[in-house]
Amino acid sequence: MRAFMFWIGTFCLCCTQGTLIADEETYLLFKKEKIGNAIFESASVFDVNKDGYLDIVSGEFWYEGPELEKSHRITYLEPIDDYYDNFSDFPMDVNGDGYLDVVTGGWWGKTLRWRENPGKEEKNWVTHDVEEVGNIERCLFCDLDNSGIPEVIPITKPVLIFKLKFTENGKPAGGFEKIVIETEGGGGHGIGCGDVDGDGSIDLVFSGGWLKSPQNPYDTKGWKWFPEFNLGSASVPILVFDVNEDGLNDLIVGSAHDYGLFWYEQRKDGEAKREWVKHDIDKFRSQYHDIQLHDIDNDGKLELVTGKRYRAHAFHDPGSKDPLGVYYFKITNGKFERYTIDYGPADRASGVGIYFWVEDIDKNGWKDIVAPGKEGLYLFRNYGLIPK
Amino acid sequence: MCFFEIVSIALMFFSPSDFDTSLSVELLIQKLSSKSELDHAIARQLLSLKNPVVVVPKILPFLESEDPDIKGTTRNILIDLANDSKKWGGDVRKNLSHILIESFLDSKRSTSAREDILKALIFTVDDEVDLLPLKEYLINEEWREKIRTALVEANTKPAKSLLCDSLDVLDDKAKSAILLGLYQLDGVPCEEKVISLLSSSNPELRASAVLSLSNTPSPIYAEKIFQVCVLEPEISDYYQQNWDSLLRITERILQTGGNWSYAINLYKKILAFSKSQSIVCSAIFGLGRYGDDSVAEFLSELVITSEGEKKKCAMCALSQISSKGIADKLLNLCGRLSLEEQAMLLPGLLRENNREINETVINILSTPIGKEKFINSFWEEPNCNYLNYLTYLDKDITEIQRNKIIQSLWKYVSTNTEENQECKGKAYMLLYKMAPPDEKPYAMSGLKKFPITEVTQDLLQDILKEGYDSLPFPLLFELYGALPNEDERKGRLKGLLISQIKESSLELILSIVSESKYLDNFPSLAGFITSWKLIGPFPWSFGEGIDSDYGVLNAVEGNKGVEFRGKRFEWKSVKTEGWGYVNLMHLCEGKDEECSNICAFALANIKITEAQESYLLLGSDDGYRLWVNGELIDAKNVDRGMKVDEEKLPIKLLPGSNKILLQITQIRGGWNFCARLVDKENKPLKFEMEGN
Repeated sequence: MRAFMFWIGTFCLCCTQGTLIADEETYLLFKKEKIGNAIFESASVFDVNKDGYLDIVSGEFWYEGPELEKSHRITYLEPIDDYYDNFSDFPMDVNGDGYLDVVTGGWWGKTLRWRENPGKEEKNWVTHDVEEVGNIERCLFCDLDNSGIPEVIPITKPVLIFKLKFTENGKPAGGFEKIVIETEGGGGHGIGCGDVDGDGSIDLVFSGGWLKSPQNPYDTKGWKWFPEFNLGSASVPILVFDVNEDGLNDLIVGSAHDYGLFWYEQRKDGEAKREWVKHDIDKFRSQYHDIQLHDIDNDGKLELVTGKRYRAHAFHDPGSKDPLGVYYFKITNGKFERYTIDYGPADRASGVGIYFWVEDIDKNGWKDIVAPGKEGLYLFRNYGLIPK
Repeated sequence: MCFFEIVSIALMFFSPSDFDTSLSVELLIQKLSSKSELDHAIARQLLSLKNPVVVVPKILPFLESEDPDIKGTTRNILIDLANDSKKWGGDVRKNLSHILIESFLDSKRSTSAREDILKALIFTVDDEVDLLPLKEYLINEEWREKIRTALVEANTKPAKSLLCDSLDVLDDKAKSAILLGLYQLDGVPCEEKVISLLSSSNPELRASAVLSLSNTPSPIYAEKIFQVCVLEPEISDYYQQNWDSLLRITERILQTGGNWSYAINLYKKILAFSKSQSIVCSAIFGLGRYGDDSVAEFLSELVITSEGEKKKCAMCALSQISSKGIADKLLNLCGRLSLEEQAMLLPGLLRENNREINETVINILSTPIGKEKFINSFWEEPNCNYLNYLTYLDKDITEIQRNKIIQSLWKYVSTNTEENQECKGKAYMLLYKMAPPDEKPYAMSGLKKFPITEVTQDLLQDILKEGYDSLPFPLLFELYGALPNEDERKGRLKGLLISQIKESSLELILSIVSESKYLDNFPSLAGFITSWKLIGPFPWSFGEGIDSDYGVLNAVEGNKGVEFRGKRFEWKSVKTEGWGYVNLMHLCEGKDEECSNICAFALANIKITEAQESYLLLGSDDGYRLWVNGELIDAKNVDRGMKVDEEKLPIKLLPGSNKILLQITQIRGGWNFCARLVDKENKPLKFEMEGN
C-alpha cells in the first residue's frame, strides 16, 4: 500500500508541481584539497620536472603531480613576521635549458629575482638577482610586445620593464634587459595591463592613471600618462576588460587593503574627454588583492575569479578579521553575479593570497584553482557542472 | 578483585622468574588451563609476546571452556595477539588471518567462540586478505549483524567489496542493514548500487540508501538525496529521516569547503520544500551558521514574510551571521518588528557599534525580554560591545540576572583574547562595581593590569589610597584627568606620566587613551605642537616630487598671504584634534573627492628657554618637507598613512622663538600630520606656543 502511495504521490507531484523540482541554478562542483600548511602567499602551476604532469609551486616548495603529495624544496626563505619575501612564482624558462624557472620578487628584499630550476637533480634552486628596484608588491607579467613571452613589470616609480634576453639563436639567455619608461606617471599600489583606448597597443594601468603605450612599447619616450582616475590601494592586477560590452574597455579593480571590489566604466563620446564612472561589485568584502579573468565554467565567457588575501597587513586592514573566501563572478552586460566557492573563518576556509593560479591541473577539461595564503595552500579541483 | 590488582599483589610475593619470557608456549598453555588466577595472569602476559601463528591454534579450544576465567583469559590473549600482529610482519599476519577465518568457519565451534574469533579477525585483516568465505554468513540472518559490524570495523577493500556484493542477494530488510553499515565507512563503496536503491519502492530501503550517502560531502549525492526527499510522501515513516540526511550532507559539504554557494542554495531548497517544522528550522539555522551578507538578505525577507516558529528561527539565524553589512540590514529589519522581536536580533546587532545601533539596543533593553536576551547572549558570546550597555541594566534586574552578568564578566576576562585590552579593563571596572565584596580585590587586581577609559569617583579614591607609582599609564592618565587642578598629587602624576611616555611606544599609549574623556590633556603631556597656521591647498602631484614651495617660504615672516596662479591664499589658525594631530582635510572644505594631488603648509612658532639637542617626531600622510628657522631639514616624497613618531628628525632649536614649517603632500585618502618635540632622552620637551 505504501509503495503504491509513493508512486501515486510521485506522479501527482510531477504532474502538478514538476516545475518546483526543476532547479534553474547551476553550480560548479569543486573538491577542496589541502596541499600544504606553509603560509607562502603565491603559487603557480607548471611541469617542474618535465614528467608530463603539472606540479604546484609555492614559495619554498614544489609539489609533485599528479598526486601532489610529495614536496621538494626549492629554497629557504627568511620569514618576516608572517610574511615571506616571495610575492610571485611566475614560470618562465629564463636560461633556455628547457626547464621552467620561477620569477619572483618581494617587498623587503626590494629585488627582482629568478630561481633556476635544476631539472632532474634533487637540489635547491639557485636564486639569481636581476636588479634591486625597490619594494615589490607583486610583479605584473604582461606580454607588451605580443612576442608570446611576457615582460616583467614590478610596480615601481620610475616605471621599469624587464624583458627576457635572447641569444642569437633565439634561446633565452639567462637574464633580463631593463627598460626605463620616461614618464611622470606610475607608482602607487596596483598595476594592470590591457588596451585601454582600443588602439591595439597594450597600455599599463596604475592606481593614479594609465600609461598609453606607443606603437613600439620600447620607445621609452613615447609613453603618455593620463592621470584620469584614482583607484586607491588597488589590486594587482587591475583588469582591463569590456564589462558592459559597449566596445570600450573598462577597469575591474579590487581594494587590496580595504573593503570593495569595483569596476570603472569607461565613457567616451568621440573626441570628448574620457570619463571613468565607478560602480560597486562588492562592498562587503575586503582585501581583494589578486583578481583574474578565466573561463571557469566553460561557457565561452570570462568570469572574474578572486578571493581574500588573509592578513594582508596583519589585522590592520579594514575587514581583516572577516571570513575568508574564494569567489567567481559571472559578468553579463555590466552585472556581476557572485558564486562563492569557499567561505568561512581562517581555520576552515581559504582565501587566495597575493598571487593565485588557475589551471586545469588534472586535465579533465575544467580549470582548477590553486589558492595559496597564510591560511594554507589549497587546491580546488573543478569537476564541471553538478549534474541535475 | 580485578586482574591488575591480582598481578600487583602477586608481584609482591613472587619472584621475577615467574614472568620469565623464555617459558615455552606449552608451559604457558598449561598455566592457562590451571585453576590459578596467577597462572592465568602469567599466561596472558607471556603468551601475548609469542608468535601468534603458533599460539592461536593452541588456545582456541579454551574458548569453549566451561570455566569463565579460562574462557575470559583466552579471549583476552586472542585479542592481544591479533592486535599486536602488525609487529610480526606481513606473512605472520596473513597466516593468522587465515587461521582465524578457518576457525570461524568451523561450525563445530560454539557461537560465542566464533564471535570471539571474529572480533580478533578484524585486527589482522588488510587489503590482501580475502574475506569471501564469510559471505554466506552475511546472508545468514543469525550472523548478518555480527559479520556486518566486523566488516565495517575491518574497513578493508575486500570487506567493503563483500558488503557491496551482498546487496545483490539479500532481501530488502537485510539490504537496509547492510546500508547502515556502509554509512559508517569513509566514502561510499559501490556507489552505483547504492544510488540505484534510491529509487526502490521500499521506503525503508530508500531511507537506508539515503543515509549511507549522507556522510560523504558530495553535491552529486546531495542532489540525489534531495530528489528522494521531495518525492517522499509526508506520511512516510522515513520522511523526517530522509530530510535529516539531507541536512547532514549539506552541513558536511559546508564544513569540507569548495561548494559554498551550492550548499547554501540547498539549505534554501530544504526550507522551501520540506513540510517538517524542525527540518525547516534546522535549515534556517544552517543558513545562519554558514551564511554571509547575501544570506542575511534572504533571511531578512524570511523574517518579514514568515510567522511563528519559522520567523523565530529566521531571527535567531540572522543574529548568527557575522559578515560586514549585517548591522544595517538588522537595523532596517528592526523598524518592522516589535521590541520583543527585535530582542531576538540582539546578538547580531551587538557585533557592531554605532550611534543607530546604540539607540536601537537601548530601546530593546527597556523590555523585560530584551534584558533577558541581552544577558543570555552576553553569557554565550561575550564581546566588548556588550560592556557599554551593562550600565543600563544595573537597575531593574533580578538578583539571578545580576549574578549571571557577574559570571559572564568573569568568563569574559578569563577567556577573552581580543587585542583591544581596553575592553578587559572595562570589564574589570564593571566587576569592581557589581561583584560582591569578596570578589572586589580580584577585580581591582585585574583593573591595575588593563587599561580603562573611565574611572568612577569611588574607584579613584580607592586607588589613590593604595598608592599609584606602579600603576599602568592609562589608569594614571585617568587619575590625572579626574583630579582637580589644585590637587597637589596632580604634579606627581604628571611626572609619572611623562616618564612613561618617554619609555613607551606612543602608538601603544594612543590606542588606549584615544577613548578617554580626558584626551585633551594628552597632547601637552606628550610634547605635541598643538597650534598651527595652515596655508593651502596648492596643486601638486606625486610625480613632480616636493620641490616647489609656491612662494610660501617668503610668506612665513609676518604671516603674509601667498598669490599662486591667480589665486590668493591666506594663513588659517588651527588647533590639533584628538591626541594631537592636525587634520588637513578641512582645507578641502568638505569636497573629499577633490582632496587629492595637493599639498599645504603648516607653520608653528614655539619658544624655549635654552638651546638643547632636540628631535622633532613626525608622522605624516603623505609626504613632507621640514624647515626649522628657515633651514631645510628633511624631505620625503612618499605615499603612506600617518603613523605617530614615524620620523625622528634632529633639529637645532634656539633659545627664544623658533619657526617650524612643514609642507605636507596629499595623494589621496586621509591627509593629516602630527608633530611633537622631545629631548635627547626622548622626554617630551618643555616649550610654549607663541602668538598663533
